[in-house]
Amino acid sequence: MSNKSLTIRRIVIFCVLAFLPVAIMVLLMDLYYGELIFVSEKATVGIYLSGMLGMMFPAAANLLTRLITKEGMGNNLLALNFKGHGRWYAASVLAPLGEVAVAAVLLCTIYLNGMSFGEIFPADGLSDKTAILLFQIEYSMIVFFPAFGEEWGWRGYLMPKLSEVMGKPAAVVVGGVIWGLWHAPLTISGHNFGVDYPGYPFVGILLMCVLCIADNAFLTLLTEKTGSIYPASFFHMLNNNCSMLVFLSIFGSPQAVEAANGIPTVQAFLTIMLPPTVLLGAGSFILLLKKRKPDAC
Amino acid sequence: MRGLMYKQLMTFRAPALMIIGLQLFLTATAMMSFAENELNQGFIAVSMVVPFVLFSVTNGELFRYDEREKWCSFAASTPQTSKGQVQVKYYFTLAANSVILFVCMLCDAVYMAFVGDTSASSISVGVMFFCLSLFMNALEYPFFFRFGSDHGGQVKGASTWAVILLILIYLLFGDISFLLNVNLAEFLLGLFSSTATLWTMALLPVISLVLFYLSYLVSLKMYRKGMESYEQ
Repeated sequence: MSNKSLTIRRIVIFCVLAFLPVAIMVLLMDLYYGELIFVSEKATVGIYLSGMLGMMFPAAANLLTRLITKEGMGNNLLALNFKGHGRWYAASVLAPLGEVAVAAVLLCTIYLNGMSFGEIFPADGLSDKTAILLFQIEYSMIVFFPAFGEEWGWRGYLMPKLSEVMGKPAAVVVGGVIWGLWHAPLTISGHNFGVDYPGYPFVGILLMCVLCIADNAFLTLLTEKTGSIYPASFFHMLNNNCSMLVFLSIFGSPQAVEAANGIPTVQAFLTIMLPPTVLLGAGSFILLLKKRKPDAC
Repeated sequence: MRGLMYKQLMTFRAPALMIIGLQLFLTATAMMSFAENELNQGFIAVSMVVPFVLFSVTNGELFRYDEREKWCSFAASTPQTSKGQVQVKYYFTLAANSVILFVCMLCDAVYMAFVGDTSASSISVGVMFFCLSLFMNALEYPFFFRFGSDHGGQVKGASTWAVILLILIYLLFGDISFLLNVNLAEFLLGLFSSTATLWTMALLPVISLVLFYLSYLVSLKMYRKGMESYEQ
């Protein structure tokens, strides 16, 4: 078997092993609760478990594919490689916080422009609120393990394989689409967008693919630059746990939170969440394509 | 570094198995106690605390096999040099605490699934003790490197007893009304309400990580001094 066909075989095995358990798990949970879990009020434990365990399946798929295809554990990206890559580690923490800041500006200018800054973000209890935000950021480490689970699968295994087969630009797009489609069972169950939007569930799945392509570019860049999976895991951890809504619920007034919650999910996604992510993704894509200058002799 | 990590894992496997085993046992006990009584968050919170405490008690094992002058001289001549010997202790400690936190998270998820209530989660207690464990390890490792695990352990033991003594004195003569009729989980969660405590909790991870790094720098210096005092 040629190298290319062996790599394709590994990609297919990996995808089957990553996709199937999540689809089965979400289906079983929907059946157990008798309704779609992400719109159910009684399925809080189900949501927690599907988040915590579901995100670890890509890591398990990485391990199993290596075992099944006798690939070994080479190029596993598990080293820290902190030395000389501190700025990429810093970027992995600052980028999601930057995204939240841009999203907050967009929310205020587009949807809350009838309210003054003081009405949106009241100054009372600022010390407590700052401590809570810091607490929220740091205690995101609970989400680190599931985030690592996803990253070790997608960026740690799938992306290097796809880059081998089709080159980097196409790999970023295809990898993002695969990652987005992996979320499909969750999206169908109401994750991220709920179920009350036009074009359900296809529009939700499509938007998830777009988001995943943009995020994939930055996460692939982080992983390539550091040769380690941990910065991507930090980004994913903060991205999942410190969203703009969390920021707003800590610092915002009840009126602002209510107004934000009233925005239709797809509309909010397109106008608030997607622009900073696409901006970051586009910048990362350019950096990924930039060829290194050959060393001067 | 990978080889040194493996060596560390091999020398620490007995305590590691004991810690994980105890953690699973405590989670099972918490589940059994739920079957008989009402939701008992204290139990699951304890199962998040004990493994970190146990690691702090047994971490001397990480140093025991390295405390020979011949080994230190050999280690210094390897490509990793003596810096690698110090580094690996810190990497391993971080990794071990992370694994404990990961098992805590899994146990918490299993317990939550068993109870069927997300409010039964005590994982924030686990995160807090993860940070406290790093904090404590950061304080004691320079002593281990300088005086060896036995003498370093004695210093650790003496300071622990001093703290226990202070707590006992407070419990005997101080105001303990806030401790009465409160279970551990409720007490820990209640701490979140005051601003000072909130800031302490929020800054604990940052302080722990900074201290952990500073401790590594101090240990590098201590290791060289400690080497000279080891027996052949």
